[in-house]
Amino acid sequence: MTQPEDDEKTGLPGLRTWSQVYLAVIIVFVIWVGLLAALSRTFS
Amino acid sequence: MNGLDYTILIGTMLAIAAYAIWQTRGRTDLSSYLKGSGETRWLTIGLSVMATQASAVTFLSTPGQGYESGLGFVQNYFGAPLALIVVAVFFLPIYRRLKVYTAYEYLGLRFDPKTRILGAALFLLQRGLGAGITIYAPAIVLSTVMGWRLDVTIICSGLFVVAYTVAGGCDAVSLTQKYQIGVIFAGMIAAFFVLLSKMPNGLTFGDSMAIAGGFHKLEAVDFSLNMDRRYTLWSGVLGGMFLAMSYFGTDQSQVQRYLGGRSLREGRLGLMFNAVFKIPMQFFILLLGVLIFVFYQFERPPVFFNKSAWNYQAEHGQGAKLRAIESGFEAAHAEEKARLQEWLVARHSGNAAAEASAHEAVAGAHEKVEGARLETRAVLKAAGPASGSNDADYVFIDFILDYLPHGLIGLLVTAFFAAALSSKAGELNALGSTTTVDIYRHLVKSDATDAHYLVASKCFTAFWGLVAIAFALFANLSENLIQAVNILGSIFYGVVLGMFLVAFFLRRVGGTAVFWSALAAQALVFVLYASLGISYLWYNVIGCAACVGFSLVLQAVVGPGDPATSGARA
Repeated sequence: MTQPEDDEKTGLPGLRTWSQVYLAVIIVFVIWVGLLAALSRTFS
Repeated sequence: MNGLDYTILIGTMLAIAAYAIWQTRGRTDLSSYLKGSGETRWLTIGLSVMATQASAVTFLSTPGQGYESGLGFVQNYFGAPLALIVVAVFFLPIYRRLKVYTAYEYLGLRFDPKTRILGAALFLLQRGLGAGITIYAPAIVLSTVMGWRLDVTIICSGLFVVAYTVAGGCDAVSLTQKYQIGVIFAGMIAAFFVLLSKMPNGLTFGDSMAIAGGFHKLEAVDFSLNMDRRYTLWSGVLGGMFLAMSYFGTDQSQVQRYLGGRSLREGRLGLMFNAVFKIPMQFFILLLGVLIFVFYQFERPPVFFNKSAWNYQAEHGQGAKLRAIESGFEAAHAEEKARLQEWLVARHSGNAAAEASAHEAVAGAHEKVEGARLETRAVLKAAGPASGSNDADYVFIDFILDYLPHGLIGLLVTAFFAAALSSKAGELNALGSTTTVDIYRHLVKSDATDAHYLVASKCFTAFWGLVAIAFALFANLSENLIQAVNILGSIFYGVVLGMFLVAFFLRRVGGTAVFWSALAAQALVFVLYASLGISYLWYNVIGCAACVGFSLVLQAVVGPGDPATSGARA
C-alpha cells in the first residue's frame, strides 16, 4: 500500500517517522506508570 | 445557583451550539454530513475524540471514585495508549483507504453483508443503551442537587443536543466538542485551585498527600494477579487495552471523529494526542476527588452526599434513626479531626514512633466515621432501594455547591452539561450514520439519491435521540455511573473487536465462520458475566479471544470456499 507523501511525514520536531512517534508515546506511558507506582510506594 | 450562574450556563451552551450551526450552514452533501468536510486538523480530532469519550459521568462521577476508592481507577486507562497506537497503525489507514462511512461497512467489504449487519447491530444495541445512560447519568445528579425536575432536565438537555446534531452533522459535533472541552478543562482546573485554597492554613501539599496516603487513597498501581480485583495493572493494561482498542477502533462514535481528518497524519496525531494525555487527565480528575477527601477530614462532610435522599427519608419515617446516626457521625468526625492534627504534629516533629501511634489513633477514629456512613446507607437502602444507592456520584457536585463562589458554580455546571452534550452528540451522530449506511441504505433502500440519505440520516439521528431520552426517563441505576457505562461496553466490545481483528489479521477466515463465531462468543460472554465475579475488564479479552478462537476452529471445519474480499484486506 502506497501512502501519499503528506501522510508519511509526522511533522513533529525530532520525531521524523511514525515508528519514532509510537515509541515516544510508549516511553511517555511507561514514565506515567512508573511515576504512579512511585507515588503509590512513597505514600503507602 | 443564582442569576449569574444561570446566565453562564445558558449563554455558553447556546453560544457554542449556535456557532457550530452557523459554521456548518449550507452543507447539504451526505459525505460532509456523515464524515465532515475532510479538512479537520489533528487538534480538533484529538479534542473531539477526548470529548466523545469523556462524558459528564467522567467529570461528575470520577472525583467520587477518587474520594471513595482513591487513584486505583486510573489503571482502567492503562491500556489506552497501546490501543490507540494499534488503531493508528492498522485500523485508521484501512478505513481511509476504503473511504468507508462507518467501521461496519469495512466488515461488509471484507466478509459479507450479514457480518456487517451483525457488527452494526451490536454497536446499535450497546451504544443505544449507552446513550440513554449518557443522558440519564448527569441528569439524575444535577436534578437532585439543583432541585430541578428529572424529566424536564432529561428532555431539555436531550432535545437541545438532538437539535444541533441533526442540524449540523459531523462537523457541528466536532466544532462544539472542541469548545465544550475547553469549558470543561477551565472548570476542572478552577475547581482544583479553589480546593487547594480552601485547605486548612499550614497544611502543605505534601501533608495532604501524606494524609491521603495514610487512608490508602494513593494506591494508583496494584501489581496483584488476583483476577477478582476490579482494577490492577494487568487488568488495566490487558483488559483496558482490549476495551480501548474496541472502543477507539470499532465504535462508530469514535471512528467518525477521525474519519473526517484532512489526512492520515491528522487522524494519527489526533489519536496520539489522546494516547499521551488520557492517563494524566484521568489521574488529575481522580486526584481532585482524593483532595476533596482530605479537605473533608478537616471540614465536616454530610453523612450522606445525596442530601435530597437523606432529607426525604428523614421527613418520611426515618428521621429519628438518621439524626441519631448523624449525631454519632459528628462526634466521630470531630474526634478524627483532632487525632489527625496530632498525627500532623508528630509527622512535622520527625518522631517516627509518635507518628505511627498517632496514625493508629486516626485509623480507629476513621473507622467510626465510616461506620456511621455505612449505617446511614443501610437505613436509606432499607427505606427505599433507590435512596441507598452509591452516593459517590454526589461528592463533587456537593463540594461545588457548598464551597465554590457563584460564577464558578455556573462554570462547573456548564462544564458538566458541556461534557454531557459533547459525548451525547458524538453518539447520536454515529447511531444516525450507522442506521442510515449499514441498515437503511444496505437493507431497505439502496438506490436513492444522496439527498434522500441525508434526510434519512437526520431522521435517524433524531430517532436515536428520542430513544435515548425515553430510556433515560425510565432508567434506574444502582452502580456507580462511570462503572455502569464501562461494564455495558465491556460486555459487547470484546466480540466486536474480535470480528475486526479476524478481518485484519486472519485472511483465510471468511464471513460465515466469523459471523457464527461472534454470535457464540457473545452468548459465552453473557453466560460468564451472569455466573462469574471477575473484573468486567476481562470480558473484553474473553469476548475477543473467543471470537477469534471460534473463527479459526469454525473456518477449519467448514474449510475454504468462503474467501475474503481481497480489496478489503489489510
